[in-house]
Amino acid sequence: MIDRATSLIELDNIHKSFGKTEVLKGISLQVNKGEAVCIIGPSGSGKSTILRCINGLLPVNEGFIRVGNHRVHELQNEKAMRPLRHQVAMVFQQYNLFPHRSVLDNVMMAPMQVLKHEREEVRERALRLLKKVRLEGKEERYPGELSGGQQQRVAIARALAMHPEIILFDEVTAALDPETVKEVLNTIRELVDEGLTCLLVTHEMRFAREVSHRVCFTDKGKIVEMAPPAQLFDHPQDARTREFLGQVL
Amino acid sequence: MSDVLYLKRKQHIRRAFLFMALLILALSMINDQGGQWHQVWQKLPLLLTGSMEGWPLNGGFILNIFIGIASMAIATVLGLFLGLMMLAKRRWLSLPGRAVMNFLRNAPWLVLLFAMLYLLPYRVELMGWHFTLSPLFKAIVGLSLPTAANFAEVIRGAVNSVHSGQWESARSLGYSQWQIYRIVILPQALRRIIPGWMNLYALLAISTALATVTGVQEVVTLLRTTLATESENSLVYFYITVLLMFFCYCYPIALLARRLENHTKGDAI
Repeated sequence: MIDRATSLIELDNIHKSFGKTEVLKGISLQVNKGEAVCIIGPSGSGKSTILRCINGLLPVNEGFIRVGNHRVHELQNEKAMRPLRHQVAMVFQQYNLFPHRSVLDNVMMAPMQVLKHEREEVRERALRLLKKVRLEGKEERYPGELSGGQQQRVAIARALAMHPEIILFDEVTAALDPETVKEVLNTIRELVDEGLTCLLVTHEMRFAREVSHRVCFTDKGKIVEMAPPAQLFDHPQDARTREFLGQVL
Repeated sequence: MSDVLYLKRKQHIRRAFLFMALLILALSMINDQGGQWHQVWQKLPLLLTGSMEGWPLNGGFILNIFIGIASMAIATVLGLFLGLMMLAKRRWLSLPGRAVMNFLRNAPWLVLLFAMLYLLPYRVELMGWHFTLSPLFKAIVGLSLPTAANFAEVIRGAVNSVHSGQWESARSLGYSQWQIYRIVILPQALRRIIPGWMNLYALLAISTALATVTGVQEVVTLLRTTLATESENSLVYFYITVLLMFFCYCYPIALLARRLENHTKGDAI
């Protein structure tokens, strides 16, 4: 189903330990361009760690990671990571906006200071993106003055402003109340529809089923089962998957 | 509602008492000829400036303030370097930084002052120029060292208190290490550094009294030399006056620092 040569992201036998605890025990995964892949599984199964290994926030102990032309596992320092970071954006559970800068600044900073793009052009782009995530009129506010859902949408706009090919979403709705979850998920759904490659760690099973092309179920540092959502949710093959889905659905 | 009124009234009464006490003190200083407070009043210019007429400035409490400000200036620069050294990822930078900081922070200020007095030479030659290292200079250096170490620790604590998610998101946006410090971390840490810096200054201003061991004409030295001829009875009043001087100078600073601190408490993450 997936052609290794044309895949945008390729992980092969990734191992990662924190001290003595091995969190990832041989993860292999390929993601094609324009594909949306959801990673589900119990907490502590290493879902977030997979994302952090893909954009090099965490170094791996063993294994092969390729993103586009970048061989991530071979990049030695932050400086070598920078071209990779331009290609891969990330949105976090805790938003992690810069609290001392206004919303507009948060979106404009990195394109100007990292990519060295023209100020006027970046400003236009930022305003357009803020409109896209339905936050027009909030440009001059500070993150602390916004609700969680609004902050998360600013974070998505900030990620998009870097013109990434891939966006990693790390449990972006876990800190939100049920009502604001919807606004954020709608924004993500639009991005998937536009053909942006997305890798999502999520606990929203209905959303995962609806939005993703493929779903991975991880447990204890391994990918237990990987299938299109209809198959994985309706006819799970593995006993562990059945047990997990039985608990959360 | 009545609670608010009660607290307000309590505050008013407290202020009235304070005002009365100050008034009585001032009156007895100026009017009570031959009284103890009157003698203090007459010598007040000497305590403050080191000369009876209040001019020229020879020392006294003004000198204490000068020592405090000069030491703080040195300590700020030194502490900044030391703090950044301790935060460095490279061990050959952070380990010496941490060692110096711990050594200076755990040394008694008085001992450091004495050490400077005897360690620093009287004369130094630098590129053909001769400098005389005055006791005043030694006092300033001696006080700035422990202050710098404490300031370095304030910086380290403030930087580390910035949420780790800030590092993650800045890294994921492609910022370099130095950019992250400059653009993301330090501006947020600064709000927590400033109250600590002010507290430290208040502490340093109090400790300038220790400079008396170097023999400079600061206020405690004046008390022990010029005023030694006063009767033992009146000396008590002089000491109380000096205590009040330090209090009046340092307490507002500490108060302002605490207010700023409470201000910054709210903005976590």
